[in-house]
Amino acid sequence: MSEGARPSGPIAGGAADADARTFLRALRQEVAAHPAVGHSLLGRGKIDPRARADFKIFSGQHYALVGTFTRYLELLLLQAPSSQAKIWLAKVLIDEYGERSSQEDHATHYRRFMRACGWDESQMEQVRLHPAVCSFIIEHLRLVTQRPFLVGLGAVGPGHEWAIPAMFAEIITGLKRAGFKAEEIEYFTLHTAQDVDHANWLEEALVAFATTPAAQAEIRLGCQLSLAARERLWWGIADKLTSERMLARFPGVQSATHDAPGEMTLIELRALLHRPWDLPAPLDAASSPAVPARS
Amino acid sequence: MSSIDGVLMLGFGGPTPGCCERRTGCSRLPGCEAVCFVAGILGDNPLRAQRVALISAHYQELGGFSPYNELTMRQGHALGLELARRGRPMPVACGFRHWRPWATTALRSLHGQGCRAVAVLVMAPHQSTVSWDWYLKLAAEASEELGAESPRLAGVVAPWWKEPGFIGATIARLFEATAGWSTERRQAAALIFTAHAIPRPVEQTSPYRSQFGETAALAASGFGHPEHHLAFQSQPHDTGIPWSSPDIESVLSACAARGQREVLLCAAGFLVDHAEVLYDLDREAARIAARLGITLVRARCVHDHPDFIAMLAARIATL
Repeated sequence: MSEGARPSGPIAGGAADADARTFLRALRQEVAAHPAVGHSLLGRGKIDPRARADFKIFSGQHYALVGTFTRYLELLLLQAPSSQAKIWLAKVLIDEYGERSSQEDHATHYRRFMRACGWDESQMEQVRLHPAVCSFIIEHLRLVTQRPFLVGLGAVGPGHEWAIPAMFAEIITGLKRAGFKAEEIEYFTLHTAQDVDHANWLEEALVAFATTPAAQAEIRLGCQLSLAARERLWWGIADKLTSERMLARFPGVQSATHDAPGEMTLIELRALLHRPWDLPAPLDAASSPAVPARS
Repeated sequence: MSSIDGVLMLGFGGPTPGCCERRTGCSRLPGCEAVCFVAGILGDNPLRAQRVALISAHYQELGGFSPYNELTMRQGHALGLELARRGRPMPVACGFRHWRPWATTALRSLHGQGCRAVAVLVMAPHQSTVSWDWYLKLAAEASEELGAESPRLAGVVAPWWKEPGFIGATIARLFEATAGWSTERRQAAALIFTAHAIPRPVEQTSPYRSQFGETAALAASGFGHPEHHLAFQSQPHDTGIPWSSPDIESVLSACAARGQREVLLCAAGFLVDHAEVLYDLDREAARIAARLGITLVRARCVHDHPDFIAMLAARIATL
């Protein structure tokens, strides 16, 4: 931690605690109002008919994120400056591994949903992922390995745990309209409930860290970068969904899209998870606000 | 002879008086049309309520409604006349993505008029998934919903961003806007073409920017202008990611910095003068221009210019 704010660790209550809570309240509002959380792809689920086949495309892209969140936490755990800092991450990790989900991890739940969408197990990792999907994962690997700890914590904490319940509520509306049964969409319903818990644990962990303006700035930056990647991600998934559903109906018609640089399969992407020191350059560097790098 | 016996013309749509009959939770209060219309585009999500209110306020400033549907229907009418003139009379029906008449209504109408194999015509000059592919997906979904009550979607009119009929109509509008100007004055004015900004992840996988660039270059050349600029408009202000750039404000600022005091604006990414043109250019961009000491002159969109309509009819004939 030669640069970036030094996490101060747990502190007693008092003024710093109050200041941290004020900051966190404001950050929660910022997350709720972010266009990634209120993205039109999700919000249109209430009024736009969506079929299982639409969700097949959606899930083929979204699945890539499901198995990788635990990897972000594992990598961030290595950077955590104290045992105290590791506690929240470890608690969430144990949940993500499936402790409260009949010993089934989130990826297992998600594959059940994918089968309900019409995927065959053997196809799930062969899907060509939109560059924005790959970029989301690469950006988060970067945040948890190449940035100060609090930036990474801001990304996987507020950037995920505060955002997901609101986003998933919209997705669940669309899934119900498309006729999915409760047991088919358990991934979303369970995850929403668990993330409310994660968000509460997180709040307590962050109170201990968000005690200086510098620390608050790093947490906020990580959160913003994560949400910006999420906004790109939803646009990318919408892009894939529209073009593939159009092409399925009008074979031979020229689509507006073409294979763009940066597309990968999940198998190719997984290789990066195990060598995060070798990440490709950001696909859209202009979109990332300046942030201090780890030396 | 082709089996095509009707045309489904698909456009974005705009709010007109009366209930959309689609959105649940509508207030049914005066002015609700614009709110329902914008909520249908951005997502009917309480988290976006502020943005919905902001954009629908633009419509309220324009009287609460959009001329989009009427102007597009005029294009459809002109296309029907042109097809008849060419010996291929057939019904043309407009269906919109975000307002009545919906694509299902248009298809049902075509079926009711005896059409069994229709051409799908996307009323967007440049391709991206947020326009071109989406309209086609919409047509297919509408047809699937109607089942036997829908004519077959027998063909798709190929994209036409560089077709002489579209370019010629654009050039004609530029001359129309500068009628009475000397050649020197025309050449001294900065020429800016605009299109709607789209999010970068969508732009990256589409030919949208390059097609828009080609349209602009061809139109500028036909207008005899030595230099032109591309600008993107109507991007949201609350986004966390880049959209197409440069935006209109930075292009106008660059013109002002070069000492240019007159700008000729051509919204080549749009086909009719609707809210994005009437508000985002004629009001917002005009305010920016005034602040910069620039006089803004805007060419009309192509509307139902005969060259444009003839080009569409010719393309339908090839199906």
